[in-house]
Parts: sequence; C-alpha cells; structure tokens
Amino acid sequence: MAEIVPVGEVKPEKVSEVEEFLGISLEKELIGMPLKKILTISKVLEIVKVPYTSSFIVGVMNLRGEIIPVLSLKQILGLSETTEPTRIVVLDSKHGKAGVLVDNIVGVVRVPSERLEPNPMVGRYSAYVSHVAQTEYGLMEILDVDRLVDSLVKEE
Amino acid sequence: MISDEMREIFNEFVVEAEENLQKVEENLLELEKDPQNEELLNATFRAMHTLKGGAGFLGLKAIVDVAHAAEDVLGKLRSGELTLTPEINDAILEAVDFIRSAIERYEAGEEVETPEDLVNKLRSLEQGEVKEEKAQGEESIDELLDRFGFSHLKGKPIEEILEELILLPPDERPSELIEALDRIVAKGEASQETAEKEEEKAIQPTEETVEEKREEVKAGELKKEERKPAPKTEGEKVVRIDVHKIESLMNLVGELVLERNRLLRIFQKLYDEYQSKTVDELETVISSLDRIVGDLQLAVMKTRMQPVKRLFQKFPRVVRDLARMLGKEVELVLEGEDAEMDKTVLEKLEEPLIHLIRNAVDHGIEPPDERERAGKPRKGIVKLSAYYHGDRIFIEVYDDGRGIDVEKVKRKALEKGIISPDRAEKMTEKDVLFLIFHPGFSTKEQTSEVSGRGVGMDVVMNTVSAFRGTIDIETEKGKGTRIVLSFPLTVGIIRSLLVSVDGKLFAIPIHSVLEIIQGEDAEITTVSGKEVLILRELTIPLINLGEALEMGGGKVGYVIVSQVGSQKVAFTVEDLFGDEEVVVKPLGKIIGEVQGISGATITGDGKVVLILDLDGILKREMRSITFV
Repeated sequence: MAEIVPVGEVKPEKVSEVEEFLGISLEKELIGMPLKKILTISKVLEIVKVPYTSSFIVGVMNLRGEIIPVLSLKQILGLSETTEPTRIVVLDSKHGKAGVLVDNIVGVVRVPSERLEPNPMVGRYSAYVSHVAQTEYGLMEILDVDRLVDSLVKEE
Repeated sequence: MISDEMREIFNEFVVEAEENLQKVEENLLELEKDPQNEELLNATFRAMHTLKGGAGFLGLKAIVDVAHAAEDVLGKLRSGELTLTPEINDAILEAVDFIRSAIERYEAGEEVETPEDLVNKLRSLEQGEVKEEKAQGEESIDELLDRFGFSHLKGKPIEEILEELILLPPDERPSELIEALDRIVAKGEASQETAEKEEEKAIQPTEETVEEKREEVKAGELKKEERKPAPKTEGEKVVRIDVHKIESLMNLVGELVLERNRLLRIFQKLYDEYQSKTVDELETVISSLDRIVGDLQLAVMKTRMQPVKRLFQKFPRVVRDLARMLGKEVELVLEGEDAEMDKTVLEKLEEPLIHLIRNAVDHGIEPPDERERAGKPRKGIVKLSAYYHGDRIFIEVYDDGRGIDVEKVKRKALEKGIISPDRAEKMTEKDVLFLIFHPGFSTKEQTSEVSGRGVGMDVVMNTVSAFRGTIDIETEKGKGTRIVLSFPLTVGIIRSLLVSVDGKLFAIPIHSVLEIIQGEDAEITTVSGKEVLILRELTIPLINLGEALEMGGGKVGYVIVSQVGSQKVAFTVEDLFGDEEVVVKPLGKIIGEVQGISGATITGDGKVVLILDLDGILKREMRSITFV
C-alpha cells in the first residue's frame, strides 16, 4: 500500500476560525476540497470503464478490496483535457466513497473563514463551487463535494 | 408517539407482534376447517393476549382496545360459549389487519384512534349477536372505491375490482378495502342464512342475554388465572441480529474468499517453481485454510437464510379470500416450509408468488360444478412447495386445474404481434408456454389499463432473472399446471465464466450459459441484416458482445449460447479464461443500477472485473432495434 499517502498526518492542529482544504490543480484551476471530506489520496490505479454510464464516470477501481467509482472532474466542470491526471483523491460523500482524478496535489491550504467569499459566478461550473478564496497559491475555488455527487446520483 | 428510550422495546414488540399476528391468522384459517380444536383456540387466545399485554405496556391504546375485544371473543370461543362462524373469523381477521396497520402507523410516529366500529362489532359478536352490518352505516362499493382512491374501477363487477386490487404490490394493497368488498360478496351468499337466523332469534326470550352476561363475568375470573406467565418452552436459543451486522460480516468473508483465491494462485506458482519440504508443509496449511474459509463462508451465508415458511404462511389468507370471492373451492397445500433461502430473495418473492397463486386459483382451478362435470373432486388443489436440488432451491406452484391452452396462447401471441406466423409454426410447446411471461401478454379477453392483468407474469420473470433464477413451466390440458422457479442458494457468490471482449475481462454468470462453440465452428448468417447463429436447426439471435458493450467489436473467438429469460440468445466473445467463483459487489450509489451490468468483482490478482447481466444487455439491444 506504498502508493497511499495518509492525509491525516499532514493535518495540523485545528484552529477554530481556520478552515482546511486540500488544494489540487486541474488544468489551470486551483480547486480546494474540504479536508474532512477526504479519505485518502492514491496513485492512478487501473480503472475499469463501466459501459452505459455517463462520461462523468471514468470507471471503477479496486481500492484495498473495495470497488470505488472514479469521476472525471474535468468532464463534470466542462474543462479541457490537456494535462494527464496523476492522482486520485478519494472523497467521502453522502452517497458513498468516490475517487476524483486530479492533475496534481498542491497541498493543504488553510483559509481563515472570513476570507471565504461566496462564489460570484453563475453557470454549470459554478453550481459546484460554493466559495472562492485568495490564498498564497492564487485564487482557490472551493468544491461543494456533496452537491457534485448529488447531481450525479440524480441524473440516473 | 414512541419516545426514544422506548424505541428498543417498541422494536422488539413489533417483531413479536408480527409473530403473534401470523399465529392468530394461521390458526383462524385452520380453525375454519376444525372449529372445535381446543389446542388451536388456546394458542390463538394466548397469542392475542400476549399482543395485548405488550401493547398495553407501551401504551398503544388503539391496539389494546382492539386486541382486548378480539381476545374476549376468542375467550368465549375457547370456553365454548360461542362457536366459530365465518363472521367471527372475518371480524378477528379484520382486527389482525387493523393491528398490523396500527403498528406501522405508530412506528411512523402517527397517532392512532381506536376504531369504534370494529370494537363494537367484536363486542356484539362476543354477545352472540349476529347482526347485519347495515347498522353501522354501510358504504356502497362506489363510495368505498372513492374513499380509497380507486374511483377508476367504478362500475366494474365486484370480482373484477377485487382482482385488480389483489394484483397491486403488497405494500400498496388496501387491505381494508379488500376486506370491505369481501364482506359484501360474502354477505350476498350468506344473506339468506342470516335472515333465517335472525327470525329464530326474534322468538327467543330476552332472558338469555342476562344469562350470557353472568357467564361473561365467570369467564373473566377464569381469565385472571390464565394470566400467569406461560412457562417458556424453549430457552434463549435465538438471538436477533441487526441485518447490517450480517451484511458487513458477509463483506468481510467475501474479501477473505478473494484473498484465499489469490493465495492459492500464488502458492500454485511457488509449488511449480520450488520443491521442498517447507513448500509441502505450506501446502497442508493452505489446504486446511482453504477448507476453513469455505466452511466459514457457508456458515455466514446460513445466517442470512430464513425458512420459506415466513413467506408461505402469507398465502393461505390470499387463497382463502380469492377462492371465497370467486366462488371456488380451493385447498392450499404447503410443502417443504422448512427449506431455507437467502433473506433478500425471500423478501422479493412475495409479489411474484402472489401472481402465480392468483393465476392458479383464478385461471387454473375451475368452478366446483365444472370440476364435478369433468370427474374431478369439487375442491381444487393448489400446492406450494419448496425443495433443494444441488446448490439451488426450487419453489413450485402447482394446481390441478384446467391447464394452459397452448393453442390459445399461440393465437393470442399472433394477434398481439408478439410472434410471426412463421415462427409460431416452428415453436415447441414449451416455447409457446414461455410466451405468457412476455411483457403485456394475457390470455384474458380484455386487459385493463390499470396495472394488473397481463402485466403480472413478466413481474415474475423479472424477479426471477434479477436473482439469477430459472423458471420452468409444465401443463397438461384438463390436468393442471406446474410452474417451477429455482434460485441459487448463495446469493453473494456466483460461479462465473470469465471472458474477454476487446481485451477487457468480463464475468458471465454461469447459470445462464447453455453451451460454448468455437468461433470457427459456429454457423453464422444474417436475417434481415441482423446476425443469427444456426444451431441444430434452431435460429438464435447473435449479439456481438463488444458492440453491445459500446466497445470495439473484436474477433469472434467463441460463441456463448445462453438462456436469457424465456429465450435463447448467443453472444460472441474474443476469448475464454475459464470459470471462477466471484463475490458480487455493487457498483455503489453514485453509479447506481446499470442495466446490463449486475456488479463487479475483484479477481485473485486484484483486477476489477464487471459482471454482466445478459438479460439487461438483451433488453438494451431490443430497445435500440425498436427505436432505429
């Protein structure tokens, strides 16, 4: 299990006004996923495509004996696909575990809650971005994980 | 409302109450045949009494009131002051139904009012009055239909309405309405009798009622003695376990099985590469580990198994009600009730079995006069049995009725355009019989718009294929019909054929595979632009599995002939990799149910392999053909 990097170890002590996100890069975007939603980060394992499913679902993979669906965030958000993903972030959603392909891991980003601004943009992409925040790495978009997974489940 | 601290007790009460209600129901049906059976009367009384006690403890007043009234009637039956009549039976069954629905409503946190009508009815029955129900302001059929939201059934003959209602899924079936209609039907038959009784009653002097009151007091005293706790016949041999705990146990064992397979594979390699004493020792350990894992798997499976009795005991009531309203005489024989099968399958079987039994009573069994003319006993027999054979369990519904008219089925299928005249000629009798499972097929002259007739049999087929079951049907004109369902005993683990398509591995459940033909030996031609396989003069539709799975077509290495639902279909695959036991894992909520893919498994070397559902793939193919 050498490819698994436990996130918990990087997690510093919690300060009440600071929220923690895992910053990931996706094409040119910097996206933050709430740290408490993240189970593990894994290398891109073999993904088996599931016929008859939408293009948002890349397939399923075997994560320690468990079958986990892998989602393409780029497809869902309508981004171009020029960079090869190198990691899979496994999220814990209310509909079960889900892997998300990401280009690179930027690291844990701590944002004071007053720096979180509601997303000013509208549209399909923006429906999944609850907030934006200025960080040391640039503007980070905060992903609404449950909403993302919810929309996939409802499409079925 | 049920407070949180009472929840646990309440949940226990629910389980226990259901057991007691089942017992009451079962016994009453039995008592109809043997009204003097004291043992049964005692058992019924006790069951109702226990139920009342439990409800009283939890303060479920509506249930206490009804159970109390019913218990009093049962008490008098037991002491011989009353004799069991169909009216009393109906009223107690009604009480059973009410208590069931009341429990559900309490469970949902609703308040339940005591149904005064029912309590009064039970009280007056207890007083020995056989009253016409008109007194309680009887509703007409139309009013009843309106009240329960079945206005569209208005104007139909009552038998037909009842049929429609009985066809509804069990949880939507308005039992109250059925009861009410049933009573109207029953009353039609009994009205003459009661009129006579009523007359007789009028002549009796009123003193008798006083006498009865006194008797009642005595009965009450007797009852007090009875209230000592009944000695427990069985110690604590049964433990109730949360299903989720068993599920997680199942998952763990499933994973253990996969790891074992992996270990066996690695060991095989090791064994081929090295020969030494240590490897031999390892072999002994591994083979006993293999055996233990197998036994463990079986043992865990068994915890999910439940006797089919749980399901079967619902049917005497269905048959009784149906026979009564259709004016038929039917005896339901149950066999092999102790056979056990997986809980999930068992639960899903209720609806299909109701369809099969309803069909047997309605279409199979002839009316008594017709049976007499045909030289058969007036009373028809419907037999529901369960038995094991190999690693499968069989459930059989048999009736000694008129059998299925094969020619009529064929005619109907032609009329409906389900089959072409050419095909009709070539079909064997069995092929024709399977047409009754075709969606939308019905031999009845009129089909209704409401879910119901004609839709029934394909429900059976769908359930059967969902649980990798098979179905067989035998019929003889004038003699009867036998429909046999079979299901694998183990649900979580299936033996599968591993195949490759466009370089990717897939698993096909082996129970649906009939035979495998080498690609070069297969006789393939086209019919109206579609490929078909010619196999011993049979023409079988051929599906390129690669194309069907929206992947590359690839070369045809093998052709797999399979039985999908009621028909044979052939699939081309690239290569075969033998068979393996696989643990079915769901794809998860995010992907959801995918028609054509029943799940995934992880092979011994850690690869994810999708398990194909050929039935679903075929349905997809058929849909794409009709829409093109």
